[in-house]
Amino acid sequence: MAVTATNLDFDYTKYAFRNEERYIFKSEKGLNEKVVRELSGMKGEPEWMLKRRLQALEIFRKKPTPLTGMWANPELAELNYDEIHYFVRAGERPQTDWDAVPAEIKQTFERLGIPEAERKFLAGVGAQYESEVVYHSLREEWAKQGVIFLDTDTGLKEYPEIFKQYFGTVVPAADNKYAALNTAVWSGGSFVYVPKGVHVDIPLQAYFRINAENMGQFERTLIIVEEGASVHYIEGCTAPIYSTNSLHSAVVEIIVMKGGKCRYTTIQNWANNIFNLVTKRAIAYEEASMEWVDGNIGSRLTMKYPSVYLMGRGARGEVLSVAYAGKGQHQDAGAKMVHIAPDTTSRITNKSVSKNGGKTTYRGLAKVAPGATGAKINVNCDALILDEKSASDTIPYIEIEEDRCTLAHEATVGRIGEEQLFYLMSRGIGEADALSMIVLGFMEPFTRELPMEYAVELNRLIQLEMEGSVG
Amino acid sequence: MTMKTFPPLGEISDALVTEMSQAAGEPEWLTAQRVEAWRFFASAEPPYWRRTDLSKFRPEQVIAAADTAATSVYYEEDLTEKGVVLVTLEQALRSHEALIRQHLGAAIEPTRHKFLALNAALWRDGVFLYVPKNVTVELPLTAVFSMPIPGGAIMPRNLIILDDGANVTFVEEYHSTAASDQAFAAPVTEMFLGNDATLRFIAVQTWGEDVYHIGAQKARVGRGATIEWAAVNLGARVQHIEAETSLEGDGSRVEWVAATFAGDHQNLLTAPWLRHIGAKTEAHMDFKTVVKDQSYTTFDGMIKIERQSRATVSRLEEHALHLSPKARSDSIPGLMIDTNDVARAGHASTSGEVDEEQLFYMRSRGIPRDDAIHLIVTGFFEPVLDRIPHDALRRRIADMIEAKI
Repeated sequence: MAVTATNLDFDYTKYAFRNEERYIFKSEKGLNEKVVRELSGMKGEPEWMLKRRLQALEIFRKKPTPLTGMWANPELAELNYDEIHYFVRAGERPQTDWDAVPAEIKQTFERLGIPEAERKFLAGVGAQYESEVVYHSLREEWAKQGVIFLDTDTGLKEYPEIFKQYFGTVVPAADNKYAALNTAVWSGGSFVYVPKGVHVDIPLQAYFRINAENMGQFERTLIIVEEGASVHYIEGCTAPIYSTNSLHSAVVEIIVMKGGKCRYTTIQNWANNIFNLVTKRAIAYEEASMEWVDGNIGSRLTMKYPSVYLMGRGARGEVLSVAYAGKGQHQDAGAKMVHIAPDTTSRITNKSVSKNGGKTTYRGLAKVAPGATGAKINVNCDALILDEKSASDTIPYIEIEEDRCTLAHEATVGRIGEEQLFYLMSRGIGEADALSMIVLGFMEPFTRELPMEYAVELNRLIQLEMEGSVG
Repeated sequence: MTMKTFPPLGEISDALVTEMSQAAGEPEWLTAQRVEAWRFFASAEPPYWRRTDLSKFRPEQVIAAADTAATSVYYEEDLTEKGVVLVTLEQALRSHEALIRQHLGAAIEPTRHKFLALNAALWRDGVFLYVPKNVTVELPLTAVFSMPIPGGAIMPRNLIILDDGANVTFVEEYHSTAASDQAFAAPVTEMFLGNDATLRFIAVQTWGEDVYHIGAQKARVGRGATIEWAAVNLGARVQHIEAETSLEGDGSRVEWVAATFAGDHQNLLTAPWLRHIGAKTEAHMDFKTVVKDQSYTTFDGMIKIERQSRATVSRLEEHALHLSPKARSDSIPGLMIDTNDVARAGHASTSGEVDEEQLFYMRSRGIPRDDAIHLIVTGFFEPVLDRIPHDALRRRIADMIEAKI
């Protein structure tokens, strides 16, 4: 069988363009009480939310930037919080009518392929342009089933009871400095509610973008999966390239009730100057299942450890992640599994590739609390370092407070074997293509879990990153 | 036993440190080192260790030994004929000052944290071992450190220097019977292996339950040299040991095994660092931990593969066995890899209860459950115990393990 080199004619410009900045409201740089009050006032939020925001602002101010310690990173010292815009809104209100979406923004989506994706099979599209969702649609049959898929601001307005019951219960503002920041200035994100027994069998998708220079994006996602229900939520990020540091700091909270299932898929490809500091956490009750599928390709620094708190007997958690770090990048990604109830199981699989001076870090927590008898945890981390300038760290925290449990952790680090390369090249494959094939093969356990169009996109991104690997 | 001591820590000044050093006839450079370390100790913040419980540690009760009453050395062959030196470090200052000056503090920086500075300022106990070029010592050499008065404090400083091609077994043992007062040990051991040297280093900690043991050990390994390091940690109320092997020379190797068994309310932490610097360095680490009752152990390890290293082989195995539901073990098997020129690197870590299948198998052979657990735990530690050279010591450790089960 002839092996042909994979096509590398990927149009990178599609993922790195910027529109002229045209915003209805753009907050002054820097963060203070006035900005938070303005933001909350413009959104017409209830008093309790404003209070929560202001409390969180206090926490954000008091907590030091985590430069040393278990979940710290000295590179965070590069962030200048006063140089960030904390709120930008394009268009007046979230739109449900496609015709009302500004033409320029439509063009952005066009280039990202959203309308096509929708034409094909997508049920709901929440597209985040700057700090607020401007376009949102939901298929009728799901509306009939009682599934809610809205931007988070609208969710707060239309479903205040559900919102108030769950908001901030999984990730409290005091959890970490960036969760506090998000709670203070959050805007946009998705609000998903799946009623009891409803299976949403087509993924819900949201696209996120950052545009204005120096602009922070602080989306807040809240997903509630009721008893026996199931959903797959997909979030993909691309961003234009800018010269000064930007900050993206999202919070995602997920609650999966008894017997429910949730999968959350992310491909993150922020521009290489963006700090991506994200808190993603889920609570899984009895017999529930929570899966995070997490791909990190872009950003200057990503710090993200998707977590599952296994609170009910028989709950199951999984994190499957890949990270790719090129020049000037640090992908500090991992997972946390906290076993609180008996007979809970979890699996963490992490694959990372560093190249051209990039650095990957796997940082994770596997914890078995007292009483979580019969817990089983499996952790696997594999790192591939493609040249001598690149680096990889593995920092797994394992805390076992129960005797009747089993934990296995395995990690390997290596480079591409000369033998593998020689074999492929002896079959007539050029060195660059051979390298690219090996890297794609290394990431395959991740890619095969993605919906097809995402798998294709990821493979293309990796191939693009691999260009110029030789010589 | 009569023993000279320092005044309580709160009453010591740099002037007193100077005065006592001069009274002991120490060279000026050492006096200066001690004073500098004391000033660091006196001014530095205490380290924050989230997995070492110092909440009940009372530094104001620390009365440090000011003589070498806690240090004993044992050897079974005539060392002088071969030029091997094994004496207290204080004594060696008179005969080997240049060697000591060259090596003291060259492996472990006293200003890394407060406790290391305290040792550097106040050490009196401790041994000096020097093995000349191409000399092999057949029988093991041993240094035993005791707690001469209940509730006392010792800060031994050990300096182990192997010249090129030297070959020796050195046992470092910390032992006391239980007492009720807080006792404190802050030992520091620095080891230097010349090219092609071989050191079998056995570190045994079997303090009584009143002791806080906060120590550091580091070996710098030269070209083609090998260190076989076995650590046994059974005693103390709180143990915090920072250990490091630095494979600096090309082709240097370490075989590193450890056995930790914690019971009651013991809090035992081991933080081994393994640093690969030279080309074709090779490391195998196998750390075993058993926790029982309400004890808490931590393995906080790191394998660092430095950028200039080449063709490194590194493997870490780390296993924790839980015998009681209320015991806790933490493991942090870290890797920091700064080059892709790695032949093989990886680690595996497991935690859990005694394997039910193994138990079932043994019980099906007529062995009662409790005996089966004994056998499994003993078997778990065997690879470490096998490396202890003295029969008597090995039996004593085996008995202690038995008693703990």
